[in-house]
Amino acid sequence: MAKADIANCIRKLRFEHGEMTQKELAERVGCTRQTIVVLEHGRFVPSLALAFRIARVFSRTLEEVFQFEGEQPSG
Amino acid sequence: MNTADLWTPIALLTGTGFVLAGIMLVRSLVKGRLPATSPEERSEIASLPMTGLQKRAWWGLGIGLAMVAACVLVIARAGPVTYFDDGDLRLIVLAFIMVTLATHLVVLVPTGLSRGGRPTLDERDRMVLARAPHVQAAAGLITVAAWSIALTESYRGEPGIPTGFMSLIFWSVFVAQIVAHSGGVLLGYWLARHHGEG
Repeated sequence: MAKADIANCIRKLRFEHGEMTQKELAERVGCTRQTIVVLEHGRFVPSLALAFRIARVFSRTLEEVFQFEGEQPSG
Repeated sequence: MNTADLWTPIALLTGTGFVLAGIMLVRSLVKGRLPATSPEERSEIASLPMTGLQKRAWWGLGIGLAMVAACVLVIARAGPVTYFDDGDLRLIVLAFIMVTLATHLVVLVPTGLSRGGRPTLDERDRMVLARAPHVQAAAGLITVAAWSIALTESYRGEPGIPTGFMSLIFWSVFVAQIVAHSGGVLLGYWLARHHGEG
């Protein structure tokens, strides 16, 4: 079932980074743990600023962490 | 045609209109959101600690409802006419209202401020907070509608309605708005948990 148009691999990246906890990531990017959980489930589309902060924690580019799954504009 | 005969259909139409408006309001709050969350997602979110804003909203709602109950009890026990003539009773009710307002100011308003250089609200909290005024608007409308129905029915055939009710209507709408702010925040988190963010 389709969720948000923006997918992400935050959960995978957390485990690749020494099994970083949701709480730790939340503290590092300045949001609540609830926000990290809904983000991982694709239930919340973050602002660009938060997306950049998350990507920076994992030393990745924005597109390595977040993927746009919406339709391409025609024309 | 007797104009008195028109009032029943007008009342029915108005009532139906209000019900439809309520349904449309709820639909607009849910529409555009993501598909309903799965039970696993819901239980995971429910198992998390509440956000700071959520805790504050529970406090605001709890204390607000307790104060509303106290006001209703005082006024109902004395009766509205005694209440309007008794300055001490009015002072007691005003004190309950001020406690509600002070609680609201302490628990919900400063949440936009930063604590130790770090914001106390994140963007999801701000989104929930921004939607709460929908509930406040509905609460205000329902309070006024309840008063108008109650007073119209109680004073039908009387030459007028005691002017003291004017202040009572004002304060009840004021308190309803305050309590509904906390309620709106909690409803926002509930909708986010069950219908995604959208």
